[in-house]
Amino acid sequence: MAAEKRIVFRSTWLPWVLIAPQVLIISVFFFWPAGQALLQSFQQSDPFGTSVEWVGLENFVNLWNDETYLASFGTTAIFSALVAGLGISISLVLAYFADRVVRGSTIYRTLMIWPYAVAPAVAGVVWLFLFSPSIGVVSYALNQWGFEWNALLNSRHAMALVVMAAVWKQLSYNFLFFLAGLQSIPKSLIEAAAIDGAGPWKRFWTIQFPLLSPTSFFLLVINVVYAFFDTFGIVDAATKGGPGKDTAILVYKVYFDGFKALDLGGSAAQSVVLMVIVVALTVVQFRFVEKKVNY
Amino acid sequence: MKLRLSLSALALGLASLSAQAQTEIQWWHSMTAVNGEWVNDLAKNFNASQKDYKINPVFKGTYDESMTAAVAAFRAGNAPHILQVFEVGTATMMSSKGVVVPVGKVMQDAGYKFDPSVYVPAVAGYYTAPSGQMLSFPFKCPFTTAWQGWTQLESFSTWHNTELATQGNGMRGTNARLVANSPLHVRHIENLGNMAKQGLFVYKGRANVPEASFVSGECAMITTSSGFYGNVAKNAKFGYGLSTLPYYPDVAGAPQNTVIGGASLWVMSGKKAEEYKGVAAFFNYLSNAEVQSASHKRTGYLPITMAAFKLTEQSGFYKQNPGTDTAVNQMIRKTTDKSRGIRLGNYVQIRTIEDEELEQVWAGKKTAKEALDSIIKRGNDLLERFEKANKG
Repeated sequence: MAAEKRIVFRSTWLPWVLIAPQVLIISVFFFWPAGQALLQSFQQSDPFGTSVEWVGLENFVNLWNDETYLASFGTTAIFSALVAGLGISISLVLAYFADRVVRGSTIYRTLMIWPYAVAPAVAGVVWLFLFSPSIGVVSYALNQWGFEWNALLNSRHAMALVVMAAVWKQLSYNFLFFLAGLQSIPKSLIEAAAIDGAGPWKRFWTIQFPLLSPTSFFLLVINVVYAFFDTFGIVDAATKGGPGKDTAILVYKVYFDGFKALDLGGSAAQSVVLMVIVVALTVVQFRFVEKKVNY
Repeated sequence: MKLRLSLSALALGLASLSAQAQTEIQWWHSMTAVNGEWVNDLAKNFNASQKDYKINPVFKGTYDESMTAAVAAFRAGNAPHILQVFEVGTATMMSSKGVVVPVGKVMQDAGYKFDPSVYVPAVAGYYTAPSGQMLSFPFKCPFTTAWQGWTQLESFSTWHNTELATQGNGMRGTNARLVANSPLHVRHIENLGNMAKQGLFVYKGRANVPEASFVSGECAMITTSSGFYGNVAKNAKFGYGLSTLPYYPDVAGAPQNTVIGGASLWVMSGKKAEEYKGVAAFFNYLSNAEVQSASHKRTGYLPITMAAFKLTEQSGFYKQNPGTDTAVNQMIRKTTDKSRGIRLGNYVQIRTIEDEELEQVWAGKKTAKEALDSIIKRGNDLLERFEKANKG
């Protein structure tokens, strides 16, 4: 690593003024709500907030004693690994081929970016309509071919459904970054390798993929955060966490307990747990995965 | 010239002021499609019937969405006057002190006679506090739905005069605990589980999602809310019949009565006295036997007064549409302590637990006994917590 460049401000107030807008935004949209969640996690109150009681760690103890809550850690791990893994690899493949297209590339790219403009709940409903056992087009076709599709009772089918919807939703975002990454790789490098006799497969693995590693790392962090936090709308619309609790990931339970069941204390305690997990995961990623990244 | 202009402006201001003297009453509800039109017509007809008040019905999404919206609005100090809350939220509304105003009080303050005894027993009993004060206005009262926990556990219990939970199913206090793993419950869920294995019973989803598969003609039979009648009458392209829930004839006391579901209207606290008068006038209009009877015929929801039931009977509606009196007949029996209703704290989560565990039975992953035991263990944890939070 090269020696760090340091810029020294002579003024004492100017740096503070310069970071003020950013600090303000983070305070309003992160520190304030996060602080409220922390506060509420030690309270129990009725939905309308007319009686508030400090209960110490009771909300956390309740979570610890809830077997289904502990089980949903496993569900969340599988779900997040699938969403991040599939989301990143499929979009990399798509970006690689979109990068090679010469004619009509704008059309392909626009179509690829489209799903990002769709709200998570709408994405869930779209996939639900395709795969609903009674009315879904795809499930009808699957049943015609002798494959008994039933996301209402089969956990694997239900998990497949929410993973597909979540991956589809995030695909465009990943695609955009990979495409930009691929285009920033100098053509001369690839041409030189081609002259040396490397085929497309070898060129990809030895030149393009390593040079994309900063992008891949960034997307890994973003996708894990996405799978942990932004997918409750999809789960709610597509499966409601069922069958049983087999697709009830942690953030869905936060949403359900807080906004449907109106147990604000319990929900706040869960979001504190979730926050700790994601912070820990991000630290791990920066500590260990980032070492393999070439900038 | 300038003076005259400002005078006429003042006069204009006065005119618009007097036009606004009509008191507006906000009513948040969750009725969609056929039933949404009905709610709008109710408000329209009431507004046309008098000049002082204007009811303004606002669709606020599904039951849980409108409840969440009302919670947020109440905390921000601008709750609606009237809120429609589903039966699952009843215990929450009753235990949140100072949030609602008892309907009995609203009516009396506005000078209306309010006699709870004119209402169908199982309806009024459900919304009455242990002290005898009626807490909310029983508005639409379907008795069974496609909702599995409701039809196959809750109504099933009262229909067989068997407790789902202790303390009269929670009606007597918050120290109730679930007891839905009795031999009778296990027997019934086991039967359904076996039917699921044989393909006789096909699971079609939670809440009222399965209703679509009946209207489309995919399923031949459905147990659901009587509020589904309006939809079937309008959309089904086939002949259909209505009947009471089946029961096990060897069980003593069966059939008793089914337990109501559906929503009721709650009056929120912190409004002006004048506005409460408007609310009372609207509720008085809704209790009118003719309005009740018309609503009952249109939607299939229960009429809430005996007078409305008799009026509908006299009109010959039940003879022309056989089976439409099923819901009423299932409800107007004298209720017992075990069948008066079900009112549990943290009910939203308990309903979800019922869904989750029953799905395990339909999928063949758990036996009926295992699933019911699990419902009781998980549900009772929540009931204990609710009791603790509301001991005051």
